[in-house]
Amino acid sequence: MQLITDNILALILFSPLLGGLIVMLLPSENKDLVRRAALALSLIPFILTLVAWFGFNASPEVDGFRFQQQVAWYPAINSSFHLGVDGLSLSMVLLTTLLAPAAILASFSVEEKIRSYMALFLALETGMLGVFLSLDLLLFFAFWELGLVPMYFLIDQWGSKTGERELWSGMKVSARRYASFKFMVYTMAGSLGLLLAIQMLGVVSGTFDMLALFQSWPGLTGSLFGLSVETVKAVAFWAFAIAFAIKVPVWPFHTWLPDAHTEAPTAGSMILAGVLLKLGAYGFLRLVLPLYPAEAEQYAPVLALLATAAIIFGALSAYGQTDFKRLVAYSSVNHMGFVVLGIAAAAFATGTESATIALNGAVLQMFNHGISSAAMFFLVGVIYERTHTRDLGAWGGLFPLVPVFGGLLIFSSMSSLGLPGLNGFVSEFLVVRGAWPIFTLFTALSMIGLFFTGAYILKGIASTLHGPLNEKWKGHLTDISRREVLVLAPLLVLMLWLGLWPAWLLSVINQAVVGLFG
Amino acid sequence: MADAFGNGHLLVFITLAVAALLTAFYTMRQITLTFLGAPRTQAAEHASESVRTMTAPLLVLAVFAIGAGWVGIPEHFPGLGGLLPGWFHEFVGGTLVANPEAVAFSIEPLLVSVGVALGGLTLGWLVYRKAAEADPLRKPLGAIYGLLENKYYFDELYDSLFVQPAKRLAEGFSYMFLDRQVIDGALHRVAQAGLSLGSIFRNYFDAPVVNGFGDLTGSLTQSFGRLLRKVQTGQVQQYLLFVALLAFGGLFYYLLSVLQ
Repeated sequence: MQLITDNILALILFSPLLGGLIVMLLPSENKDLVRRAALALSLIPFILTLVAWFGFNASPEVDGFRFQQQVAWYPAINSSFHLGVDGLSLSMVLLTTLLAPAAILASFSVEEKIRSYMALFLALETGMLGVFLSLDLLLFFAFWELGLVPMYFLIDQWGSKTGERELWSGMKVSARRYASFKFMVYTMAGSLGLLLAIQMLGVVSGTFDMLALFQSWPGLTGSLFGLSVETVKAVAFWAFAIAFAIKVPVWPFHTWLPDAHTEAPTAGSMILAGVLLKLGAYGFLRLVLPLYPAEAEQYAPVLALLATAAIIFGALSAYGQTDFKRLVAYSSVNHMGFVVLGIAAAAFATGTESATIALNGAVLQMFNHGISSAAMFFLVGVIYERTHTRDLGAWGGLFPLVPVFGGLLIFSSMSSLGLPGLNGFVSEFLVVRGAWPIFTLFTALSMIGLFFTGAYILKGIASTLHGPLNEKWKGHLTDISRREVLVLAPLLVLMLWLGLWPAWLLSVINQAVVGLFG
Repeated sequence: MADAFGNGHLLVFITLAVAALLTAFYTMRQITLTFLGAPRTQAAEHASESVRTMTAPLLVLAVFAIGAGWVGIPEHFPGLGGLLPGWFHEFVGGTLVANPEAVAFSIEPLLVSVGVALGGLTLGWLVYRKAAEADPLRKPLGAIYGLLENKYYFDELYDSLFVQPAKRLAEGFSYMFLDRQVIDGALHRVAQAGLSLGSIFRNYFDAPVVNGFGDLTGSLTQSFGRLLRKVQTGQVQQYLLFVALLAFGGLFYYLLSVLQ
């Protein structure tokens, strides 16, 4: 037991990858075995995360990262294999290890190349966990890029089979190829600057360790490479910020998201929206704000403006959709806008009470959005499997045919909408309450986005469930199955629980927020 | 109405009176069309009494509908005042900062309100008791009837003023224009530039220069070989001739250098 708790982070990090390797060794003809083994193996990191959660000391008086582990990796450049969690990363780890089994259970309906699919999924989980757990910049970057590869293949090989995208001069590609390529290359292009900036940080400071850099880098003065430190820091800040802004995504770097989310398989969309977007926001919180507090404060209004644009245009674009999955994808842009608004507010007014509230709200919104968008994408996947269309106009009045599905869809939609009593409201309120004294105009404008949030959610529900019954589906629809309800169950419980009593999560988040930003 | 009259707001009083008249009118119109007269459709002929789960709550509501107002009858009301405890004025007034005085009793509001109520009911019954399919007021009211039937066209106004612009803003502007044309267009142009650059490098450098160099090495070797193989004639006489030439040439060169 001591061995487990001593190395708990390494175990959480590598158990999915090991699970993936085990899955690759299973016989591919026995589909049930592969599926069940993958599910069981994905529950191991979840259980370990719970062990870490209950062993986590959430009092803000105890500063710093818990469960730290450090092993020499490249001693010549002072880069070590350094893992550690605080409240921020642990809540994200919990989200990841919770969504992965749910997504794998949701993937039971995949029929082709199941072994590779499950192995890629588990490898993806390790990539995502690595970003949240690492306390070394090179390690962070390695896992950041590693997470892209499985996702590329998941979208390209198991994504939606139909659909085309026209490029230029009449050239057409299949939608899933377009989406996977766009996702991978766009994110990588942003990461180029990140890599260069990381290298520069490592060379100048002599170490890649985040804890050491947090101490030494912000106070650096003098001149570097013939330029003033301020100039170098501003360039490095933008390099970091662009990379994370593409991932979050911040408007106008968001156009990869609707394509990737729409064309990905259901479980892929759940993980994309549920976890991968949070990697970008986590990067902002873990790296940009602590390493560049002055530049972050200086450019926070720009970030807040872009966040507001994301909120408004994300909601508008969602409202204008006829494809349900693309509507939910744009809702992700909308919700992540609130996260970035909270981060910008906290960067602008570090140390004030409103900044703490906004940041708590932003991190909670990261968690809540992971839960609600995973549920929404899964529900869209459920109806897609039965009707083989995502077109809102093709349905109509399905509520009497699929009442349980309808009820669950309405519940998840209300969480996504931010209905008081469910989790979305708590985080959105905290962000708005925190950002209001700091960025009053932007917060007021974002209410337009919130207005259209209600519009597009209701459009989705009304087109699917309400109105006159579309005779085409009578007798051709089965209601949601037990396995599918099982996928949703933990998410629904969390939606209600966090909506009524979020204190258990907020106290953990608050530990990190207060500890990091005072 | 009593308050408006008592405080001299005659315009308010008249408006309220007209509204009360119309209320009674449309109530009686509804009751007459639904319950009185001959049935107008097959379904109406076979209509049966509602179930108890519907009528019982209605009964309770009816009791309150009739009697709820009685708790507001002030003491000084002629006849009815004082019969039932009129506690409502104190109940509400006591919660306000300044407890307002009850307005003094005057007979006009009482007569007018009773008049418009009973009058409206009567009018409604008179107009609609023999109504067939078409509403008897449709022709006399003319264009106004259409306006009323379409709810003053508020829904259409909101639709054209707010809903359609919002839809155009959402689908047309934000999604199709901003996202697909502007942002994705820029991305596609970057991709196209990358593709063009790659094609240029491929077609103008890689293929001719790098590949070409390798190919050139091979073809040069081949052409040299073709050229040089002409020496190999297979004739021994020629080989001996070359041997003799080289031998004498070598000897000659040696003698020359020795003689220097």
